[in-house]
Amino acid sequence: MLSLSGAIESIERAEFSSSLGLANNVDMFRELLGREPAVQALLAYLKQPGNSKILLGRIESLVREQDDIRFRNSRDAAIAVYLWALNATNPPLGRLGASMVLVAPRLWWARKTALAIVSGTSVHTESARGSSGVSLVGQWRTASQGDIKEVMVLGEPPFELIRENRVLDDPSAIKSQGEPDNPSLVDDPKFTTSGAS
Amino acid sequence: MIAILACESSRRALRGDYSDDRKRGSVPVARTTRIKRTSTVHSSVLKTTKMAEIIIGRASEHDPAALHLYTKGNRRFIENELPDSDLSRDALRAAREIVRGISPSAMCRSLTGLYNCVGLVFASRRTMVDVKHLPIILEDDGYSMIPESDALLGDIVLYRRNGLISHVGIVFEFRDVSIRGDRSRIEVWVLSQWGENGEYLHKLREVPTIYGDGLEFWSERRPEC
Repeated sequence: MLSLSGAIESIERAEFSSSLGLANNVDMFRELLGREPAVQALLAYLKQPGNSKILLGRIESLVREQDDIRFRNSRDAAIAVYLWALNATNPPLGRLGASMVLVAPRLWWARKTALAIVSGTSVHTESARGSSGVSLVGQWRTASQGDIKEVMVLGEPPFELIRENRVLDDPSAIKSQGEPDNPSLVDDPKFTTSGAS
Repeated sequence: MIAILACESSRRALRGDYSDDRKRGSVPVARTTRIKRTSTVHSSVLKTTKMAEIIIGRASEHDPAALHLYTKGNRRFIENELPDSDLSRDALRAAREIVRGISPSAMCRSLTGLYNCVGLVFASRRTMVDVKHLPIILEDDGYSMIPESDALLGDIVLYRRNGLISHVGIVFEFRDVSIRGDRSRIEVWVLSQWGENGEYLHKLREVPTIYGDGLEFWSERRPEC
């Protein structure tokens, strides 16, 4: 099986993106990515504690990268794969990653993946023009407005991504910087957010 | 249909500029997401301060970025979505190599990722349309299934995999590939857009395995001519 670094390198190559680009819709895209050995390797490594947070940092880094802004983000497919894998193994982090992707420009597959993650089940409210209603589904609020029957307002996520690439599910459980983490990846500068190439 | 505002709208939203959205009458963004970097040295620090992004029916009739695309018979809206940007030249060249690996004889007609197979055939290359919408298009636009032997130039060919529609193209050429002394053999060539990997003229059955091997020919022709 591929190493994690090998899997990431493979996923972020243009050839990988192009092989997924044969898809004519998002269902085919997901089927194609599921066939890739690199994705299988990624899923296996995400089972190790701590690796999900690092992948989230990688998503954030790729989303922010500004290659040629005339064109689609060259890592769009990779971001979509990471998002999909993260959501499959750690749904709360998957939702946070989705919220990052939804506000980023020049993404196609990643945005579709993010939308699938955040949409889930929603409550539809019919309303007359000019009226509005809000309902709460989990962390997400849906609102209807005028003729639009289904809109969604993203609520504030329940946790924050804070310093030193650490993600806390519970902000009140802030631990000291000396807390040990998964040594297999955290200390590898290649996979920290700032060290990602 | 849960969706997100078009990319430019998202960018305006991030800048706090909703004036264009309100002028167009689309659903305004109530608040906007602010992602604030609190450290710029060696860590990525995000703190979402406010968080709201209104998502309206992307690709639906309410999406200002979607084209007004309707079927002929019942005037049903065809959901579509236009990418806000094309793939880079490098990405498209890599895509072409992927295609060449699958179909060495395929000829690239146009290298772009701004439309997909359905967008080529039914929307004049203007937008992306999910293949799942093909049945209503075929039904409302008066298409009938025909045997391969009756297919003419301009008819369309549908690909299926596990019974589901996966791809569509236009019958573009019939090539006589008969070998001297043997019976004439006609090869069907199809013009189709391979996902976002460009538009190609290719042999009928030389397509990615993900498109399947189920073939159907459909035509809207009126037989009187």
